[in-house]
Amino acid sequence: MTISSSSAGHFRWQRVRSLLISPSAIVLAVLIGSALLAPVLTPYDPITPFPGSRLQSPSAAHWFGTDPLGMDVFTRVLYATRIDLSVAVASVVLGILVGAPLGALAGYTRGWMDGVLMRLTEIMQAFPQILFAMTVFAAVGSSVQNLVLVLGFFNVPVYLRMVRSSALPLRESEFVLAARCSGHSTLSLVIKHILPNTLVPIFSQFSLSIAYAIQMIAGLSFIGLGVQVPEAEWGSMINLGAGYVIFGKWWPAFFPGMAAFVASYALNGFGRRLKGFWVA
Amino acid sequence: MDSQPILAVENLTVELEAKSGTLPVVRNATLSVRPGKWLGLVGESGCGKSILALSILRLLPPAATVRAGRIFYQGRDLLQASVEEMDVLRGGSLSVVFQNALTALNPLFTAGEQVSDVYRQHHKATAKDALLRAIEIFASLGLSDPERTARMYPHQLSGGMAQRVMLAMALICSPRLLIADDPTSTLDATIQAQVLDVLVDQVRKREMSMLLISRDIRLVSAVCPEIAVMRAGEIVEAGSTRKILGSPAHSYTKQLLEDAELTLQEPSSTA
Repeated sequence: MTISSSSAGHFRWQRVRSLLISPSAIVLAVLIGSALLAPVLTPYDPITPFPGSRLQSPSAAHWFGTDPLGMDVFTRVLYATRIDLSVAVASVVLGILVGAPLGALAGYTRGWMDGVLMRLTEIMQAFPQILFAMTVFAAVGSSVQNLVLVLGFFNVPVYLRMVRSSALPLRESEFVLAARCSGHSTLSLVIKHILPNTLVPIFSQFSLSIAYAIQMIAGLSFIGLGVQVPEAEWGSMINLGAGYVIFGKWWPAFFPGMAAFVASYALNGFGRRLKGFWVA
Repeated sequence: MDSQPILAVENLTVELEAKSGTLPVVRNATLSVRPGKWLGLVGESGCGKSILALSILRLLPPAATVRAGRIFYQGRDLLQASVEEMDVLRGGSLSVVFQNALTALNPLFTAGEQVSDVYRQHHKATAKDALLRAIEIFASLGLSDPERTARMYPHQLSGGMAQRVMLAMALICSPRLLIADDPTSTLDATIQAQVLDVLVDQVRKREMSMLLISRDIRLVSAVCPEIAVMRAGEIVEAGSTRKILGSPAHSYTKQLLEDAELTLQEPSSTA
């Protein structure tokens, strides 16, 4: 018993280590670390324009050059990581907090509530997201808070359906019947017994959802919704620099674009690895 | 009050919804358990024993419905009871032990957590106090290292240990009636005897009533003073164990006894 459990522990640690030293995990760690250490890593202010130093090409003083407002692109890329990642994480967490319990409830109870929730999520998922976001921002104005709410709303059906499908087989399982027999009401059964058993796919999806949310944030900010200039955000930075690419000033748009690309690529890779980590 | 049965099932009919129509799985079944007494319910797999137990708990699968009959528990009609009343009853004064304890435990929680959770479902208690209670019960059920067992996850438990943990879940709220649905059939013979001893011992000490359901007529007749024999959804014979073993009235009971090699005085002529 002790032998098998200690070797299982060793095996698990090896797998955790191989997950943590994977390229995608290292890239993510560098991104997060540099975002946190941004004030130490660069002397510039991310949101104060310097009209005197507009559109300077990359140099020792400005590694990624300066943008049309004279702000240091490297500094802004680092600070943008903070906004992009935190808005993405917050919106996905919001989606999970709302979607997962509802999904577990729908999957366990079936019946009318399941039907209503499934039809609602189908409507939500069939509706074009950008169009929906534009409508919301046009009605209530664009702010970081509204961005989190809208993206969180997009994530609700994803997690609701995912948790529901994991809850369906649990419904028939003996331990759920046994828990029922020990006096759990439907609600406490769903929270204590169903939901915890559906967490594995949530963990794997988490990373992928964040990557998608980053693309949405950057996309919405690029078309002028979501995060507004001069606040540093990858999409709005690309927007700011896009008009200058044809004049050969490629850097104000290129570097934030690369950052968004690297972040979502690494998150996707990490999500795939996580999936394998749980399944194997 | 004492003569009134703690559990009375009257003319219960349960039907299963199938594609081709409805199929009666329990037909006009009547049985009763008096306070402090034990009744054995015996019958082959699929004869409706478990469905009968689940209908007492009001936990029938969605495809099954009670067509007729009444179920009284301590004088209350369970089929009329509200969902909340049933939640209070289940695991509280009316509890169950299932066949396969390993799959009846949630893989994500330790044995101690699951047993103390049942207690906290019915009583106000801190997690720590409830856990101490769980450990006490583990000790009384003959688990050799109760503290360590409490920290173990279901996959770390042996079959016998898991069944004892299951039994602890059923006993922690001091129920008045225990429904034991083939509690030992997944264990091997020696462990089966041990677990059954512990179960019988506890039920006797606590002066509880018991409905013991099993496929094994030897097991049931060794434990229960009264038995009911069920076949294809019908209770074909019921009465004191001594009378049924001595002079079985129904051919099915005779066959069960012959199969169990309990009646040696009537060797069958055809082999």
